[in-house]
Amino acid sequence: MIGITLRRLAAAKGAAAGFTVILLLFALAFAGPLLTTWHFGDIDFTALREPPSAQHWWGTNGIGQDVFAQVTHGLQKSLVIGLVVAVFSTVLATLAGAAAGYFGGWADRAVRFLIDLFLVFPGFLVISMISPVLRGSGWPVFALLLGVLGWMVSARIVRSMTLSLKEREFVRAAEFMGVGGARVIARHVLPNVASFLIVDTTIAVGGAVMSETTLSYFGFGVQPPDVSLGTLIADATGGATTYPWMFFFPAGLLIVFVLAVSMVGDGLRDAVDPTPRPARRARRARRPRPAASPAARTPREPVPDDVVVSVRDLRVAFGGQEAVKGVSWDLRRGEVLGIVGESGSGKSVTALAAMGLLPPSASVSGSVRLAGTEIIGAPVPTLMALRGRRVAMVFQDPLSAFTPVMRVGDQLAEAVRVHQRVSRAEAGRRAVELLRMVGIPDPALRAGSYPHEFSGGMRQRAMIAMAMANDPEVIVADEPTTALDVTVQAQILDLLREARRRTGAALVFVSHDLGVIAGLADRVVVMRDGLVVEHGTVEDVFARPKEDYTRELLAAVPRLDQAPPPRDVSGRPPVLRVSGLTRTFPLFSGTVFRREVGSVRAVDGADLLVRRGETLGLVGESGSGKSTTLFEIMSLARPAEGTIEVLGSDTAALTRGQAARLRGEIQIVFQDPMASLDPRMTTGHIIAEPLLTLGVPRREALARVPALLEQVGLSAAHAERYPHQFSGGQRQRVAIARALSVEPKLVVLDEPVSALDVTVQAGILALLARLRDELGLAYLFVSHDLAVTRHIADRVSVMYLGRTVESGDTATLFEAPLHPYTRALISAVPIPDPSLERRRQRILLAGDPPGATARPVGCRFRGRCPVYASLPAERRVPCETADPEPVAHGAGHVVACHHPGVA
Amino acid sequence: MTGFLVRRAGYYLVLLTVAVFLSYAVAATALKPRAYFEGRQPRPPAAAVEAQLTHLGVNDHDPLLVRFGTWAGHALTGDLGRTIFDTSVGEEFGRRVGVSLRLLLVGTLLGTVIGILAGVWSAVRQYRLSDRLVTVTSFVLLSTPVFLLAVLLKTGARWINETFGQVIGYTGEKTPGLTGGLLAQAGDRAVHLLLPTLSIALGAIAIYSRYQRASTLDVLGSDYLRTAVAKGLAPRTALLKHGLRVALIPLSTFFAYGFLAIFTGATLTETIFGWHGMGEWFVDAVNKNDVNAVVAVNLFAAVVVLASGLVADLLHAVLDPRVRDA
Repeated sequence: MIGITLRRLAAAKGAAAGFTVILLLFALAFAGPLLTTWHFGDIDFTALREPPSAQHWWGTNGIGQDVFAQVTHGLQKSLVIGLVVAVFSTVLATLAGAAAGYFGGWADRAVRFLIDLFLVFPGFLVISMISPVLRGSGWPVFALLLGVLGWMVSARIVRSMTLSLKEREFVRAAEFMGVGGARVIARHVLPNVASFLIVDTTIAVGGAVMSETTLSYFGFGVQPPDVSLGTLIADATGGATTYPWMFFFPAGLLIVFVLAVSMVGDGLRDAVDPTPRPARRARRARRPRPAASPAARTPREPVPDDVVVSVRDLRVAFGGQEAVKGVSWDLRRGEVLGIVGESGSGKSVTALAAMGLLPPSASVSGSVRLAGTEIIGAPVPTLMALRGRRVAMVFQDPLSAFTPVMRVGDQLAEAVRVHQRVSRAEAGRRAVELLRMVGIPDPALRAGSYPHEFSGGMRQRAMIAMAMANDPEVIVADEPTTALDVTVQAQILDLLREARRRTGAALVFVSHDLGVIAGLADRVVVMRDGLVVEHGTVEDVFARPKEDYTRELLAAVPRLDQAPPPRDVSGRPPVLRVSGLTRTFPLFSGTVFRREVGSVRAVDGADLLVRRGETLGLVGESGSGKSTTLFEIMSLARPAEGTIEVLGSDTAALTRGQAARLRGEIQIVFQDPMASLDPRMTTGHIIAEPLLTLGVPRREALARVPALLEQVGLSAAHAERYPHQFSGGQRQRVAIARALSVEPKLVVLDEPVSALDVTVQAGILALLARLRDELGLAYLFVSHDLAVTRHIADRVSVMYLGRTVESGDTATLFEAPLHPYTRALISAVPIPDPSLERRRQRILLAGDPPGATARPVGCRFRGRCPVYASLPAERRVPCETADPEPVAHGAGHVVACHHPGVA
Repeated sequence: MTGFLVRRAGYYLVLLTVAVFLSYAVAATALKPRAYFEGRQPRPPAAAVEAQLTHLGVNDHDPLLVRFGTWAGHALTGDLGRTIFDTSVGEEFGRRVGVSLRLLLVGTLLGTVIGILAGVWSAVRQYRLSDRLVTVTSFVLLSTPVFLLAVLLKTGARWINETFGQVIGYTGEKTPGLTGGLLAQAGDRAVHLLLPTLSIALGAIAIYSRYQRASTLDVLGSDYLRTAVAKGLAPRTALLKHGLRVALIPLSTFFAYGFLAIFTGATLTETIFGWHGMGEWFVDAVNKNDVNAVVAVNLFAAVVVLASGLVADLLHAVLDPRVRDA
């Protein structure tokens, strides 16, 4: 890490130059006074106001003092004060900021009030006021005072960094391992704030020197007979034009020093930032003219009339790295072309290139023809006429794809007005009409909302409405459902089919999800590493794949309609039992005078049972309280309501020592291994940390690392590497090895494969199954992916809005679900088999999962429940008045519903 | 949104009260008006010194809290007390406040507007020659303390005047005893405004341009800008209509800090260019141990800084609908 930083710093020319200048100035300040025979206080009566000479190198001042001796001494004083102030204020800022961020509550509010209070007074005023008292007490007091007045802005930054670090998974992971608070700060928080502090101190030196010279200039700082750059400049100001040597030597040194410091600070900031730098833009973005591109030079074979988009030998490179290496396909009028591939396959880049939307750093060649118009290399006006009019786009993340500060209706109306000559009012009416068309309730009102006031599903609907605004011939959708819950995904896919039917537009659908492609596409392009691997009709590609990679991909996808034979896990003793667990978070308003304005019921009656060696799958949509339930279990503390029993001990009754021992029996693996492994620790230390926390001697703990690495399919040599040197799948293996290091009975897995590509996911799932069988582990496996859950779990528990609504063994739950929510969830999962997927009957849920602040009377699922909607009024009464209690329906099958099994 | 601003204003009132008390305590403890009177020649009788100190409300034999109570009681009625020369602080305040506000407002306005424009321009032309020039210039300006910049500008102007005759007036707000029409008067004032304004605006321009450049670069890579272009908007229109407002949001929170720097700069600049504003008064008052005058300037500083904080909150709420609900 340090090596990388230094190399990057050396590569930055400005920083290197600045660093050299600073060294030279320090040499001048400390060696200068030794080189000359004059002391800075000496007076040469024979030479008043003399220009530079051999006797006085930089001349003399009004009373015959040697300017060189004076300036070097003044520089020394200014530098020393600057350093002391910078270090002192950074220490203050770190202490105050870290305390406020880590402890929160009153400490946080007190620190923030102090910060605001100190900011009300310009430090200049305060120090000037106190200066009469300070006279005679020397520069150290002055320096400390400057430090006291200069910590606020950095403290604010340290506070917010600490706050966000506290939420980072590797800090949470350490806390769940049982690492104590002070050790968490020392080992995981401070090292990650350190790089900022180094940069901050550097920049603070410049600021401190500026403050010192300013105050000294006005007579409030360094006092005569001592001198600093500020007093020297003050003395020389009057004669600056007549006796320039007296003025320009100190003034020049001051500017050069501060400039050098800020250049080093700037270079350091870039060097410690681990994110890769953006590719440098070419001096003039040189786009290949269509005439110069090879595809255009060689006469193309005639394109059939019904082809609306024709891509030929498309190549895209970013800074020398080829992302797309010669891709060709045609899109026919009205058809759906699915582009499928794993991350890095170039599928999204291809889609963006088709709209000419790649960033200027990309170099593109080949040909993309849209209804006869060449896009690659086309001038901007040509592209503007096409975009939104003949080809429209739907992006992956609908929150970031809308301008956050503009009303949704205005953004839609703008799409209309770009291409149609209509009045503002007419465009507004059309926007409301479009919102109505995509099923937004109350569209006239919702048009006035901002994007953040929409739910994820509504935003994506609005995005599709915007794409439909000008009846385009082609809609390009780039992973449009990836960020959505599975029930909402089903709605959006329906809407896309509907949009296509209405506009007759052809659709390019980019996705990593083979199930979604199977249900929607007419033809499929399979991509890998920037190349087209296979290309054909959806039936051919799924049923008769020609290429090995396609077969591999299809085999790796877990299917909801296939399952491994069930294992017999009955009669084993429980390792975890949760009943009636509740967790609420207060909602606050206000900054300093905070008051509670309500609460979020994140978990509201969760029941779980995991037996020894058994895997319990926990499923539900986002916001159903799955993760909060896990965190409550992992904290091994007394829950607000309900009970948690781990290996027979009630967590409410644990002593500190018992809790520490219990931590060795229950371990966690998080979703994103990049976030849950401390980036500044080697793999060996990461894996050994739980052992060290349990008190295993350091050497012994590290000695166990090689075997653990081999157990998860890595090699012993990997122990020296840092997390960023691994691939995503390898990192997840490291996280699993860390969990296994203490030989736990229960491993809690929080979406462990959701961030991984399907082929990598298959490898991790196989590893988890193998470890379970070899070590007799029990898993609590949280996932939003029902197909994955079906393949790994022995039993499944379904949560909705913080409550367990159904649980049972895997086969029963998936083949004979009784709760309407479970049925809808299962029905929403697409199956990667085109003929099956298109014949299937679907249950569509209305709306999005609601937030957890509202707590309706009666059944909480009522608002979206298809069964409730179809019931006659008299049978609805229990749903409207009573919260359904969990009731057993056969062995181990528990359902909380007033009308279980009603279709 | 109104609720949000009212809550902020209430918080600022609390901050103001605490801050004024602290500054009174610091000024009353650190400054020695007794020494000023006792140091006079001929030395006045002890009883007379005592009486004068009590009359001004700065007698260090009275407990600090009592002195503050008396001062605060008067201050609430709009009476800021007497200066050490037994003249009205309020009247002096009235004479000087306009001078300072003029400099502050012009400096802030020019600094923000030009800084933002330079930042956006620099970001759009990232790594081109013009971007590098803006960057280097702002770095040099940021490395020059305001007082030195003012002194350098003054020195430059003196050199110009010595070479080309009296071109740039830089002492005070206007040339004393200048005769001529309204136009000549206005022109004279504008010329006098040039150097002090430049001294504080240049630094502000430099820092705002750095921040604006960074936030514009963030926006340039954003998904919603890509969406706007995908609709068929020209890239420049997309940036101005969709990007600029978002890029201004971080600036609005920075505005309060920026104003603090400008305020300090203005205090120094006044002193250097001989403007009879609050800054010059403050430096004089400290040297004269004039407690009430020093506290008055502190009050002014706290009020303008908090006002700028409120303006920043208002700007933030206007620019970003997401904070209005919070």
